[in-house]
Amino acid sequence: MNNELRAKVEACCRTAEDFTRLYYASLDNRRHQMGRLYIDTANFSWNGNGAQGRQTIERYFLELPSSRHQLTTLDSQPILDPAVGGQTTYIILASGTVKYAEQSMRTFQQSFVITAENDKWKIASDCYRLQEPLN
Amino acid sequence: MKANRSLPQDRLVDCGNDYQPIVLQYRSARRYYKCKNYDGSPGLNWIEFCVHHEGVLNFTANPKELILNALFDAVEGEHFFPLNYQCGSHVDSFLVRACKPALDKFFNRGLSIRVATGAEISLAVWFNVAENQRNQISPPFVISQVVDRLLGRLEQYKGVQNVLNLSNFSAHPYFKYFEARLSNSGTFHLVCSTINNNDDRRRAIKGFSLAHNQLSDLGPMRIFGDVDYELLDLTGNILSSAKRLCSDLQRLRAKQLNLANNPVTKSSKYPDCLKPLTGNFKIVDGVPFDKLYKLYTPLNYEIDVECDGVRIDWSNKPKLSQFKDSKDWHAFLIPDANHEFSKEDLFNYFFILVSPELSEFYPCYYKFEAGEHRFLVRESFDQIEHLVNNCNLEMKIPQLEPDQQEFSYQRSISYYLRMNVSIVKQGHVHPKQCIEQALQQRFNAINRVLNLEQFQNSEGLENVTVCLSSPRILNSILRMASRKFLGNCIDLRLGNNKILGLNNLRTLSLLNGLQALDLGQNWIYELSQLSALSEIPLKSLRLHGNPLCRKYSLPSEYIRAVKDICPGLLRLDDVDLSTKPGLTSQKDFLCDPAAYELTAELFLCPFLREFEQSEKRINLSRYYTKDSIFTLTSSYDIRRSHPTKPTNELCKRINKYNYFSRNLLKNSMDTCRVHVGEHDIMLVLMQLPEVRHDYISLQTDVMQYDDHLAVINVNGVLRDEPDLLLAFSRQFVLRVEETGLGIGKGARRMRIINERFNIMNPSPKQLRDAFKFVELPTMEPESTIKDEGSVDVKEHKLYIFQEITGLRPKWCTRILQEEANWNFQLALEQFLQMDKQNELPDEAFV
Repeated sequence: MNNELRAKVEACCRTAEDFTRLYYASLDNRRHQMGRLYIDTANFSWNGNGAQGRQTIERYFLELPSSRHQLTTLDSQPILDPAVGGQTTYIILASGTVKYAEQSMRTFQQSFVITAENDKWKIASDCYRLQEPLN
Repeated sequence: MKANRSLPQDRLVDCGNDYQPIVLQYRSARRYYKCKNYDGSPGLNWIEFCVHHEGVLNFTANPKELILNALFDAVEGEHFFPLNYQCGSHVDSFLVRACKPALDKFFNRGLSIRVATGAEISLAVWFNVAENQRNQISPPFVISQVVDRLLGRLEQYKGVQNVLNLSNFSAHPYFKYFEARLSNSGTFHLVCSTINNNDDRRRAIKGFSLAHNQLSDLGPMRIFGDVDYELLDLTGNILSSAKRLCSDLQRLRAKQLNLANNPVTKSSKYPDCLKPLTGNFKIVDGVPFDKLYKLYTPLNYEIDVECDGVRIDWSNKPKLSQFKDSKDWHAFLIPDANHEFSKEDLFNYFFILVSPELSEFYPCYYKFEAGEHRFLVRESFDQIEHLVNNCNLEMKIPQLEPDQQEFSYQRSISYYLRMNVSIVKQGHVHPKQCIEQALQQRFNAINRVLNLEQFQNSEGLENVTVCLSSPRILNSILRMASRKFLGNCIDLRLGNNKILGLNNLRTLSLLNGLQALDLGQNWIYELSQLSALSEIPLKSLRLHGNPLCRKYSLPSEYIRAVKDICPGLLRLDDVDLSTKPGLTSQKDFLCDPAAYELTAELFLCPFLREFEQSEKRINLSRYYTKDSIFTLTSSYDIRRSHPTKPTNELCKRINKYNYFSRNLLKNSMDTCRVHVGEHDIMLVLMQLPEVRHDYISLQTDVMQYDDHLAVINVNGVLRDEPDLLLAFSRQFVLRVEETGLGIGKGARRMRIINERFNIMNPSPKQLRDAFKFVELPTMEPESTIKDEGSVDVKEHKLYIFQEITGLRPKWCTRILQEEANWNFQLALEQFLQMDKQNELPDEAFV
């Protein structure tokens, strides 16, 4: 791995940590602000239920029971390809445990594609899966 | 062509007691049929027309009318009075005389007419069938007599004295023996000139009724121009051209014009198409001419706010009291020099100060002119008094200050009134009537829905502002609806109406069948504003889009709060409350339906199948480039699967994954376990154990799929062979390398840019269900290796061979099958060789 790539990977690691910290704090405590984490045309899938666009996604979150997420695994990679048009774009995987309202603890995993928009990291796509469905 | 074959029977035509009968004798008659000329002159004797319709019009409502209209069309306004019209099953007949100009027109057309249905009908004409004698009937003379008689008997008609009533003219009893139609412009001309020539009586005429005469042309009326009549009734004709109507009536003047039931009034351009007649007529069909236009406002035509009415402003407020009992219009004038506010803004702000306790307030005829918003109001004196005395003729403008959650009302605009600017005239709007009509239109009796969404946009409310943010007005409308529809309405839609609440509404309970209520997209801030709903056994309620919804961050709280008011609710905001909305998981998500191919044979299934066995896994290298990135994470917690004592064997097996596992939470700047390039990646992949995937367990999310990139996530269960079940997930970022491949030209070649692999403990449910279900046949790894010789493969080869070579199918088969025995490579070589040696004739190619 050359130094240039290493620098990119390291930057990606830092971003992944910062971003997921913000993301799960918002998801658990400030749902009404979730929309601002997404680009306008973001794609979102929550256990296969799709939502498109910042506002719809925010609405979707508002419909969910309250949650507590605990991360156990985090990984990220930069997308280094002309296909993303030179824009810094990362993929992130987070997995861990979650407790929804009064329900029992479940394992979840979530993968993001995030991209830099006006100096802020925004989610281009977000895929959330619980290992066992909610009751 | 002259034809005298077997002659018809001679007969006698009776024309009533006053006239001598006509004796038809065919001996000396000459018959013309399908020809364009006649011999000599038609003379003054009687001529018989035989209309050979051969029954083609028998299915129409009135064949005789169709034929007469066609005849009158053909004579183009010449005199033509068919006498003794006889209808027959194949031939109609009638007599005419002294009509050479008309006759010439028929002969010019080859004795054929075209009726409105499109049918061509032949005419046979007998010249000289009967001698013309004195004392025989003369239709023009009878018509003049009838007109003279009518002139002597001018009627009171539709409230106007001295009207010449020519309505349904053809039905006049004197026309028993012949056809007199004003739709024939020759007849119409005759009638008009008869009237015009009768100098004494003509002057007494105050109006004309020409209703129900099938008129399409008013040309003959032009001679009555430049006189001021009271009435011109043209109801129930077939006037359809506005252009012709306007030119025919250009110089005609009358106070009232009746045009109802003419095609022209149904055209989309009506009433604008009548603009050239402005000034000719004051009232059209009972409506003042100006008010035919939907955007008409008396503020444009009748009221001059500079001088009409009495001005009331802050300086002379006490003067208001003298208008307490006024029934007239009062004007509100709200200055806004820069037109800062739209009509909608204006009324939003204006109604903030309209009192909810006092009478209903309906602004009418809103317009913006000369830097002022202007509208008229009647009969709401208590509100006006409130606005003048309590609110000081000021309109508050709410403003959202920066950094503040609440609106401030610092700014206000002073306005003034002009009282009694106009009395109420015929045709002015009556708000309550308009509302009642709009309500009626909005009710669908079939599905029993009263749809009042965006009520202001109802037809008929163009000139009335109905502000449903006023509880009083909302109340009044719902009371009206309740009384009108009672138990018939089961679904009431009030969406998008700026409604603030439904409190104190006993009115709704009259709608005792009501099951569904839509209050979406309104201005309801508190559920307490809806306490009235507790009295209605609602099954469905929509509140989505109201500010109150924002108060609840969780759906459960929201649902609970709404159910406190409506305990019987089954649906809220279109969501079935018996299921857990949005929480059920779905197997697959495709951002684009086309992405289905990606999850099946195009990429995912082949990839996973090849990954399973080491010997095939090596082939996966074709998916990677030197820039591909691969990482693996292991979230497998050995203690969770074996809380007591994990076996050494399990640890060993999991360690095979853990060895490569990257976890930023444990090792935050880990760059070692990032594998770049196909060589490095294959090195890792080949060290991983052989697995089998449970294809039934797979859940796939395609998050992006376009011409450049695809992002796929898959998760499910795999078995680390032979017996260790693992939950896994993979994430791929794929680049579309080439498009337009394959048989349908829709296939793509994909390369992996990024790949992530994660293993986890399987959940109890996954353990229970894993590999339990029979795999779908297409998922069987064996099935991918297709029998080379199967028909399908052969067809495929033929197709591709044809695509490449451009040869006709026969030649493709010959080379592929006979020369190469389905060996594609061989066939191609054979083709190139044959082509080189010119062994392929031109006709071999498509």
